[in-house]
Amino acid sequence: MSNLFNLAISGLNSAQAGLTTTGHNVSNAATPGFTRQQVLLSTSGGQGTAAGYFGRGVQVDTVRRMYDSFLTGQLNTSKTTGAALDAYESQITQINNLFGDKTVGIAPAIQTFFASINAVASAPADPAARQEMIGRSTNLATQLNSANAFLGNLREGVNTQLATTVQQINSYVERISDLNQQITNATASIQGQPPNDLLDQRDQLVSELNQIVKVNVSEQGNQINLSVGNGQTLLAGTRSYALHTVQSAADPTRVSVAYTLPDSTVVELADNQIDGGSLGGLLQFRSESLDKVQNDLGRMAAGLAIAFNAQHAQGLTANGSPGADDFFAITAPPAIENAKNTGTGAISSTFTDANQLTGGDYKISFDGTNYQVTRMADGSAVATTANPGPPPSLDTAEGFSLQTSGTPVAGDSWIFQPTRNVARDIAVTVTNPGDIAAADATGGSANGSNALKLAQLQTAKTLGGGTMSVNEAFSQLVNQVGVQTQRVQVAAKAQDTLVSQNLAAQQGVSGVNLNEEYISLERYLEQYRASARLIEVGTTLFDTLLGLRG
Amino acid sequence: MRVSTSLFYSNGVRTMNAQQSDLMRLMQQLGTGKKILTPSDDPLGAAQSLNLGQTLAVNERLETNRATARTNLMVEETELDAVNKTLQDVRTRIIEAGNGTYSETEMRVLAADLKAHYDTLLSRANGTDGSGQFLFSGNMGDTAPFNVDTTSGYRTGVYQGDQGARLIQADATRQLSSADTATNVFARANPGAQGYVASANPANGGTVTFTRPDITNQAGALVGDSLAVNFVAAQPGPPPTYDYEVSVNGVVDPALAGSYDPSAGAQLSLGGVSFTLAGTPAVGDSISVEPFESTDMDMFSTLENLIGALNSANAGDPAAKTRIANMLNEANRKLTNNHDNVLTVRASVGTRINELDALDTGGTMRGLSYEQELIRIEDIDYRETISQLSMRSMALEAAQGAFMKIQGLSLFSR
Repeated sequence: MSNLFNLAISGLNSAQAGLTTTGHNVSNAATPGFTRQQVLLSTSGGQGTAAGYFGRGVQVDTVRRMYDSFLTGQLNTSKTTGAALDAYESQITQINNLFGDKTVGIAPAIQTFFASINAVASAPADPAARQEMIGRSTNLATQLNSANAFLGNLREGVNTQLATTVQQINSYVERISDLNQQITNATASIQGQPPNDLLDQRDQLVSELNQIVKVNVSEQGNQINLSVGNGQTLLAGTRSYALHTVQSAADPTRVSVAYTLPDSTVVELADNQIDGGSLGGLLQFRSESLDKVQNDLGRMAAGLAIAFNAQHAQGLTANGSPGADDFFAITAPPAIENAKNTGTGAISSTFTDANQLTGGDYKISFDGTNYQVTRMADGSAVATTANPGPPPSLDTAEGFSLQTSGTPVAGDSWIFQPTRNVARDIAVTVTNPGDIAAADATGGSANGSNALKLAQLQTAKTLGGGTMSVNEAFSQLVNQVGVQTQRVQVAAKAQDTLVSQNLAAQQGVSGVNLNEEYISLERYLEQYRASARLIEVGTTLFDTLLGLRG
Repeated sequence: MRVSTSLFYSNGVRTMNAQQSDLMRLMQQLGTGKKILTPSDDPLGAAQSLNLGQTLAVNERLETNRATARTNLMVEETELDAVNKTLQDVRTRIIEAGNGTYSETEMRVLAADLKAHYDTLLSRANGTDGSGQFLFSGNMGDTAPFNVDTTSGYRTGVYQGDQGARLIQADATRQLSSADTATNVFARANPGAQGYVASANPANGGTVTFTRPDITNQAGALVGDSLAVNFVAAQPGPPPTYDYEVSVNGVVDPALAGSYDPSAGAQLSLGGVSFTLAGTPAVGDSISVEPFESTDMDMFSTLENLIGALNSANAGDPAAKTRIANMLNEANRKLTNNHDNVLTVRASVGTRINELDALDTGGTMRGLSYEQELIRIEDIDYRETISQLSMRSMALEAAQGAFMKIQGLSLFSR
């Protein structure tokens, strides 16, 4: 009889546990990252008697989290790729929009510039035509400057975002580390019962962290370890290692992600060692798109300036003096010294042939006796012919030659970006309309022969090894931006579909279905009522026993 | 398969967002009329439209160039017309005077008349276009072709300009000359003319006159060479004759020397070039017979010499009369050739203007086809886009309606 009461109580307790858990599920149906919980019941075993084993009721074993680590891992992986693509897309769309309208910007500036040269060629003595040409050439330089400034702003934006993103990573890692500690404490204080909600919180943090950068998770007991890239540890148990951003030693205009070793050495992570998440997307955008677009824009400006200057210098101005050879002033940049160089070597450059410029970046290294020039895109070596000078210089077949000075030490390296900043620096130096060299060497105020040749540069193939005119180089640039944007957009859309499929699978196991919970509520309620009835029956039995004497 | 409640909601939101962003893109396309809003919409089309844009701009600029060239050529045509009329008058007057009956006074009147025509021709040669540039000075548009002495009105010095052609880019591969130089208009033998002109040395003391030289044998040995007949010695006779030598291109050819009898005159035929001499020479006199290409064809020099000779007319001096007669003969011959040359230049101006017209027609056709191509690449088909727009709106409404229906289906809300 007392057994009945015990049985009833066990039923009541387990029903109550079920109701609590179901209520918890219902309340958290909209909580992000919530994994539904289920009460696991089992019988309390049996009591043996001569007449048989009598069951002792029901017991609650545990509250189980309906969690599938494989599905969750799959979802995280697809989400991290999706976040990377989204970050890439939002950056490259800005460049895409910059080149969107072909009636404003660089393309019409090129056309009106060459039209103004034609006007001068047809009427070289007309001061209005000359003034117009000065105005149009300044406009073209300004358009190139402002397009480059836009790209420069994007670059600054990427640098800033890298810094904030890394700070976010560090804060997530801190919070996960705290949770590791809490989970360990919670598991230790109640032996064998998993702290479901803490685990849910930790999983949610890991998922959010994955949106920022792809992390590898490994479990150690009931704590997790995190690492990025090829195994750089972020979190080992409760010990966290922070990332930070530094000015890249090789290129001070770039911000790199780095970590500090215990002995205070700063190790930079290369751009391609970090993938996934918005951090990976930003880094991929910078190296695949931003650098390339800025270089190509600079190459176009260099091609225009070098060809124009060369032809202009062959003509005579209105008062018979030779034309300036820096109508469009551009500077061939020096190579950027690596901050870790120990020698005093410096390398400057000059442009030799715009037609051979590739728009790529180069790495120069010194091995003690010779300089090596390699292309950064694929690491292949560039053939150079060294002139002893003095000063010693290296000629290349890629459109530039390098002049070396100072004393470098073996192991020193430089980065050389020949066309990166040409569009930033290009400016018109001729302001006086009379200084336009429209006449050829025979002179005369009605002589427009040199201007005729300058006008023909519009369709002359001055870039790409004799395959592209200036306008064609620009249209190729626009085409590349369009292709890259399209590729990223399509990939992002496809990834979006994949993410939603994985989400559906994961939610299929872990998500709360309110209809289901409603039915569970009814079921546990029913069980509660039934167990309450059991008490009533037990009470009736007891009363009957008591009522025997009277 | 189990579906969680939050998945319902997030899927609904996702599909509605997707439909809405597609709809917005269609609205933007309709608003601008362009298929290509950003390069990513059609990367190849974006690049093609940029290239076509340049081709179109070049085409339009060439049209403007041609208009400039046409204007310049029209102005030149006006000047040449005036030169043509003036030369006609000059030739008429010279032919009238050549009949030999003019008195001294009439000679002087003729000289004044010719000087007036000379002034007209000189001012035409120094003509300017609308912007103050001289038409006939080649590339040196700020310099007048000829300097003029303000008191005498005669030309001083030589041609001050150069031989630049003032080329204008009329088509992608065609540069057209938009001006002619004063040398070519006023001081050039008519291209292709093969005739000879005879002239007497102004210092001649005798009364030898000549007729117009003709080429009787095209294949003659001396055709194309400059010839000169020099009277070197007098033979007392009787009858008195004069020995003459012939020099070819300045070098005496002894084989051609001969003897001249003034009473009979002489019909000379030298290597295919023949002319007649009459009158009595003095020793030291010479007659030059030169092809047009080798002689000084500057019409201003010709007129200056003729006016000078007319102004020193002296009825009593037979040598002076002879000089005037010879000079009239020479001027007539040369100015006829000059006149033909001016007409030739005028014809070439007309040819160039015709070519500009033809190029304009071609340019317009090309421009049309480029624009058509550009429309094909860039512009939307309104019918297609509008029907897509209504289809998408319908899809959006359907998604919204479906969502409204589904969200109310929960046991909790019964």
